Amino acid sequence: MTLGNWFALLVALVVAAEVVRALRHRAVRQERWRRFFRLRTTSWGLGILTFLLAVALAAPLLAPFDPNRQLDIVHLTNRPPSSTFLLGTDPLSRDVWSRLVYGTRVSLGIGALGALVAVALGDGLPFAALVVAIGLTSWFGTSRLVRAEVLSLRQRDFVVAARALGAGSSRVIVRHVLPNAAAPIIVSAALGVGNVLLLEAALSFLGIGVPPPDASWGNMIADGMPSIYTAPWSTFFPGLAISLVVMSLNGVADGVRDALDPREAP
Amino acid sequence: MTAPGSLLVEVRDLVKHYPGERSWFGLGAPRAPVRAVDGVSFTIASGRTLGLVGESGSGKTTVGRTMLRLQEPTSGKVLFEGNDVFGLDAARLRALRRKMQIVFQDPYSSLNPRMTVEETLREPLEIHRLNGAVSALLDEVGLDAAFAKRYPHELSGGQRQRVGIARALSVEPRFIVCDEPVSALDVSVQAQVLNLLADLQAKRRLTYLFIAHDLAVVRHIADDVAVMYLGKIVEHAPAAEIYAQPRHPYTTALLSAVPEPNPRASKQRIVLTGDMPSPAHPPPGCPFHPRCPHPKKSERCRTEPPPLRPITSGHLAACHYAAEPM
Amino acid sequence: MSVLLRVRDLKTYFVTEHGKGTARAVDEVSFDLYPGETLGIVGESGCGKTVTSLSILRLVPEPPGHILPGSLVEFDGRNLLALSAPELRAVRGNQIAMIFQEPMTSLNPVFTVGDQIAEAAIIHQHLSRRAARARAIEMLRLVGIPDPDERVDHYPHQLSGGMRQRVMIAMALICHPKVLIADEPTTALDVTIQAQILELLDRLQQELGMAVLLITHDLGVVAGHADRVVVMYAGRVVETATTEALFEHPTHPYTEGLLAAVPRIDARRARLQAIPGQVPAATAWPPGCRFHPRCPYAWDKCVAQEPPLLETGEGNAAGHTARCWLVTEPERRAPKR
Repeated sequence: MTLGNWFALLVALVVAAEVVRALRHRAVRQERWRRFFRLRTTSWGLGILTFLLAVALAAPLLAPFDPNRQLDIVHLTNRPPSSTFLLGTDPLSRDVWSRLVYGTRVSLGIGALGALVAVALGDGLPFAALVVAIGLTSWFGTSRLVRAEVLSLRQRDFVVAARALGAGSSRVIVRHVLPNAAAPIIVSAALGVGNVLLLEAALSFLGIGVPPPDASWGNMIADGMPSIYTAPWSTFFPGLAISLVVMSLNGVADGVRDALDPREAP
Repeated sequence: MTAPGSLLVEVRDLVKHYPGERSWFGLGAPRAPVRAVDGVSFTIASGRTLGLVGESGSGKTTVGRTMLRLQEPTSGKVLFEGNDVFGLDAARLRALRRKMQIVFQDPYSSLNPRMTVEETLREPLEIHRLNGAVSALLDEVGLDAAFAKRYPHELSGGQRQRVGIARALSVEPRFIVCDEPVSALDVSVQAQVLNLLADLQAKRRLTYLFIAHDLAVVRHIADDVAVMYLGKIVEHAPAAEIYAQPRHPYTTALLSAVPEPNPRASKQRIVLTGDMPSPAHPPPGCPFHPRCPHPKKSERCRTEPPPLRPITSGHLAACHYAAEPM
Repeated sequence: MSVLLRVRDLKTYFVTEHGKGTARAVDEVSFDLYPGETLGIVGESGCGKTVTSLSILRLVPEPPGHILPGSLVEFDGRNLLALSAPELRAVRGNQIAMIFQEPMTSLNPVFTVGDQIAEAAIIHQHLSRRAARARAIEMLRLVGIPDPDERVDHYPHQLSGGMRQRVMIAMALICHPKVLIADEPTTALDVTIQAQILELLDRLQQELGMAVLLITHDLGVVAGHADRVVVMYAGRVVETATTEALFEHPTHPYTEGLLAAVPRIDARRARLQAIPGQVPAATAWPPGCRFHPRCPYAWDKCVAQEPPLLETGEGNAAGHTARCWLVTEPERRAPKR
């Protein structure tokens, strides 16, 4: 790790903390933001996700080594964490920290994309696309949830009342159906992102995920598995990162749910 | 504008059947259709209230919603000020919806939980580009202007029901379907809302279809009463008449089943046996015959459906023995 | 006659979320239930009648609920609130049984009605499965279900609402309890089915000689089926009387107002008399008499000091009490507005 790397890391941390602080400041005035920050886990989750986003964007500044380069396959395999190799090296003598930093890009990207696909699918894409999506992303649960929510809301009296008042279908959907369906969908989507990360890890473990030598958190675990007893760091840190993201998303999802629901007193 | 007392709404032979679901994942034969409304006709004069009474499964709610075209009918006609409601295109239907409104039973499900009272009341004004003041609407239903900023969960059942009424009033309708508007309310609040509906009717010259299961409530608001059983009207008469001399044995039984808040009321209670049959399989002949306590019940009741016919002037009943009521 | 169930100073409070304070749902409620009688507890939503009935068998969820020390529910010489869990279970469903408002949700959808009826007999009377099934069929016949030999193997979804409520009653009565608590037993039913169920309860009470605690919001149901009535408002008992005395000489202004607000089938009134305002929140009952903000007679004494339950001496009926200062100053019963 160079001094520049440490400095960049510090900047990323400061940026994340500042973003959270600024948003919490808005919460003083706006009730919706107040409800969002009702739980402490939401602030932590938001901070961690912002930090990871900053890491993904600034990966070249944070990584001391080329993440795909085998530094010295004879002497530098499975090195424990040190001041040079912050999180150690993997069985192929690559720097775990650098791979983790670059892997953030791949893993967060896959998660976000997957979430979008699934939520959109709930509202009616062709069947073929659905089958493909299920096969690729296992998003069936969220899609079904969207559909069930929309169907049950359509029966509610306030939706009938809006139609009786002459509201067109777009107004009914935008003002009455979606805001009421949003909370469960967002919570489920957030959990789904976690699922996609885990799925990607599982696929990589089977050798059909992100192709080597590019790093994703999933294939880092797969690569580190053979020496998990001698060099646990090369599996432990990507695993920790996945857990952090899943927990952070849960925290943020809880916040979004509260923000959307006026029944939650701040 | 229609003159008071002239015909405002006419329902002609309205039928609403829900298709039976197919068994075996959509591959088997469809089940029998549910005959929710099975040939209902009535008229309501301008400024009057028709009470539509029945137990759950009688089809009374479906009548109200189909009349407003919130559900498409299977067949039949609804004329509003002479216009065929089911024949209108989208634009004219939207214009008509200003004149025909609905108030719901459940004050918890009838308001969007994510909209403030003000947003709820402003929406119909936006849709129809009307200039109306939310505060005036709130005032008219007896709510303080401060309620505008509240969400539904911050209101009591009675207050929500007032907001629901204000929403219906916002587009200045002539006709309101009141679908069990007080059934979910406590007695003391129920009286407040009934009085409010009566006051609004007088002030705005409204016409009501008042759907209810409670004959005592209907007595206080309706000019005429129609009683439904299994998708059909079995009796229809001016209120004073139907309470004094019911002609259909079902009406008689309904009246006698209402628990009266008077321990000395020594009325004979007619307790009907059995349950209402499923509207998917109505009995042949008179739909009421399996539960009918009429002493004259005969083979004719089991085979020949009695038509809804005038017994005395303005008093219709669908019973072969309506001339000799219980 | 000796008291069968004695409730004294029952206080059940709820801790609300987000620190909005303590909801005093039931606040010093006292009444007696005598063998063989029907005692009606009447009130509107939020008055505490259901929490009272749940507290008797300690069925209030704890937390957030909490029955305060000093409360007494005496049955058979024992304070039910002080019993150990196994002792209490021996009372529940055996000597004191309960039926609820929602026959749809109070039955378990995955067991046959026969299994559910027999369960109490197996638990409390240690009957064999075969004997319990025979008892279940006998009970189904008793509650007027046709073809009980067949119905015993049906699942709840195969029955109508009225039939389910009959099954609930069969379940409750299989051990021949001394007390039946019926919490709004007919509220979810249509009026013709309600008449059937109320008639059935009357008949069973006579045949089995049990006492019934009838919880309801419907003054009509009370008038036709209760011997005595307890009227509740805002967590308090506000009036107790025999049914006849209550309807003839309603003393508390709340009782009076309720009776005037009920639409009557026997006579059309030009206008219903509504009680103005709303029931206050259980976290902030008004000071003094809890009804005073809605009372047409209230004067400064009502704001300052809550009246105790006072003997009315009305219509020479002993045991007619009302929590109202009008009992001591009857000349004030001329309304101010």
